[in-house]
Amino acid sequence: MMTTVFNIENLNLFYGDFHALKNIDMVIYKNQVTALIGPSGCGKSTFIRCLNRMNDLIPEAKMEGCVRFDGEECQIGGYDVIGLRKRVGMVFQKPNPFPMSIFDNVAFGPRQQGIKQKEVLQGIVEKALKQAALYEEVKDRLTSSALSLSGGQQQRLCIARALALEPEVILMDEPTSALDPLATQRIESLINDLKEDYTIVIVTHSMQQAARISDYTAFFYMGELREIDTTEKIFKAPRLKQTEDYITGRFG
Amino acid sequence: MNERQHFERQLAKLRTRVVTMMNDVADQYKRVRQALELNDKKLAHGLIAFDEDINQQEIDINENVLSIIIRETPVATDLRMVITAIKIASDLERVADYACNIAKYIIHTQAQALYTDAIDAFFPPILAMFDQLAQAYADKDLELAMAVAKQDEQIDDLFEKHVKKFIRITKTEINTSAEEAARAILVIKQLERTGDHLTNIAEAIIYHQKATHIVLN
Repeated sequence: MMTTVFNIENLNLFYGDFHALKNIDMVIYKNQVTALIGPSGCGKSTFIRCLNRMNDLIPEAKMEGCVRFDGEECQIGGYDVIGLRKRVGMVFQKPNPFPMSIFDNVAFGPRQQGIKQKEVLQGIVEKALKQAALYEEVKDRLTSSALSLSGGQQQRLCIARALALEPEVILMDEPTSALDPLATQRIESLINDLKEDYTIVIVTHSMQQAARISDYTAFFYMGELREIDTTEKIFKAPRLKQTEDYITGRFG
Repeated sequence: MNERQHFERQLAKLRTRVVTMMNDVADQYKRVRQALELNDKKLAHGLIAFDEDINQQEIDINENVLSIIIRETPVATDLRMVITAIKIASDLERVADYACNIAKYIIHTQAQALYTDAIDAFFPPILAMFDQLAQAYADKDLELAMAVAKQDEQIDDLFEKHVKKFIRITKTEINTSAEEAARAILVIKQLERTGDHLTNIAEAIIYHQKATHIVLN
């Protein structure tokens, strides 16, 4: 029996009058990679932003329903949102390193948490960079600007920055769509390594990427979760014709 | 959809190749039956020569599938369709070899009604299977694909009946008669195997449509 990290029940989200997510029921399993696929505007990104309450930052977004993280309702007032975002890290489509050194980028979160001792920070930064498979490439220039790194390296730096806070879940919103094939391959292989210790939810437009890296695939369409199943089942014989039509490129 | 048009054309081309191969192999069986009935050694030679063409068709289908996988990375029903094409082509190629072996039998043996009549009895169900398969494949008709198994049962019964008879001959007769019976056993064994391979094709057609493995016989 697999442990669940997120239990989502009857989740609805509105941007003003626009009903962006409709009655989503979904479970996210621990140490599994769950890929979210579906045409643009189907609600994938909006959905993952519910998982660490990033939608709180959008004034007109209104959420209904229940999202339980680690058994606890995390959408209610009074819930420790900062703590939630520490435990549920996020990596975005475009690498967004801060305009500071490689070291300071990774140390940023831990410093915010109040960690000051140099040796402790060094240990955290080294560990996170190693986990993000970037350490060997940057170990001799940790004080250089993060902006001097290539796009693929910047994205791995952002993953290291998320890992430095020792999250339980990493949300990735099209993390490779701005990267070349080799950099994409490195991130994909990294995702595969990371799932040993983390739960990963990834939004992707690449069907092949979903097929390569995920354990579960969820198909969203017009704000609804239409089908979720093991990735093998989805790409071998999905239950719904609509899913089949989407993954085979017949629409979308 | 426009963006799929090229892909759809490639899938249609692959389907046509499979249908053509199926028809060509069925023709080989029609010819070998005729050669058997008329003791026509020339016809038998002709169909052996055509086997090269059948082998090439299998290679072409495999190459075609490889190219589709590389270029289009098909999934779901499309993936099952191309994988099924490889399986069907492989079974057809083997079945065509059996037709050649029977042609060789015709070339090298003196026809005796006792054996040729027994061998001939296998052809109606086999040819019916080919017809059903061609239609089931073209129309995606699962019931028809299932029906193929019925013919295979008939073939198995024929085999049991005749093999016993021929084995008796090998035990009681000596010299040439025993050898002829033994050769006839080899031929009907190939026809029995033909039924099995054609049943495999029916299973592949069902797999393509339903994504489940069904053992028909």
